[in-house]
Amino acid sequence: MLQDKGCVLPKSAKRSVHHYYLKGLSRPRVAGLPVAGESVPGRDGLSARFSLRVRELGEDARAGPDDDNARNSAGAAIVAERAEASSAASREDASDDAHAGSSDEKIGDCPHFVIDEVDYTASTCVVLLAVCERLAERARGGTMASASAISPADLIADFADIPSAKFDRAILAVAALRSALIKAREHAGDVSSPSHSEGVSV
Amino acid sequence: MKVAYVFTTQGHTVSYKLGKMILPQLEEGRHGVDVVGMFFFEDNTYVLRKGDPIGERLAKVARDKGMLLMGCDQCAFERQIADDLVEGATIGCFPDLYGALGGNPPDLVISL
Repeated sequence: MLQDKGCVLPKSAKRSVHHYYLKGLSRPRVAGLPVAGESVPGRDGLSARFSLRVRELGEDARAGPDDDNARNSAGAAIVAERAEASSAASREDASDDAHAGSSDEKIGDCPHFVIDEVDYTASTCVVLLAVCERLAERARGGTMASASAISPADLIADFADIPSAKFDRAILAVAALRSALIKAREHAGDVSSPSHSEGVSV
Repeated sequence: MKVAYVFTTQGHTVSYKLGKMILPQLEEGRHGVDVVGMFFFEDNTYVLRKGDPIGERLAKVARDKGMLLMGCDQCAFERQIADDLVEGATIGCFPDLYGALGGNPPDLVISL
């Protein structure tokens, strides 16, 4: 059984790559978002690029509970369960890279800025499109801080069927989102420019 | 001569041409060429599902002869079998196929 967003789901309820691939293909793109990250290159000639629109929260909204942090905590629980279930080889090969950059980095660490809209472009790889679509879904509506806390392992744990040979797609997607978050942070006036790939193995 | 098979048409492609001709010949060592790889599209990908009688025999041949077994990744995800394949089988797209065959390229690629 898996815990996600406070619900208990049967294993079969995990998201499928195919579902998010189709969703990513069919969702209308949002043109002209003001913040665009770099086009981040990955393995096999793949690349991804995220763009964002962020908004500063008012004083009242800042006092509310942080649902995004709760969501990410649930994601960490899923990662732990998935790691427990996976083979030792997969844990060593994929989990190390997938957990890279999942610590308390300061990329996009602007807790009072909300991501209103997210879009992306990516190479036509079924797994890459699926993880980018899921990542956009998770980031949309949350704070920049919570978006920057999403790790490749969180993303992989959202799916039931990503083979370990394709885990690098999640790493690429997260690196691309973090690049956009860095740009957004600069737009927000909190300029500190770590590399977009800091802590993320691609 | 080295060949790679791409199973792309539906119908009896897998159950007949592969299951009753190619695979028995490979098992008996009388196919006549070295098969370096097989790639499966659409419903043909089901043959790679764990427990499939033809797929399991194919996996043994692939293991013994160092033959590539790869299913189309999009086809496998759509059919929800990507994480349930016979031992040694992988999924991928054209770049993965070319990359996997690059070290032992076929002389001919035959589409069935």
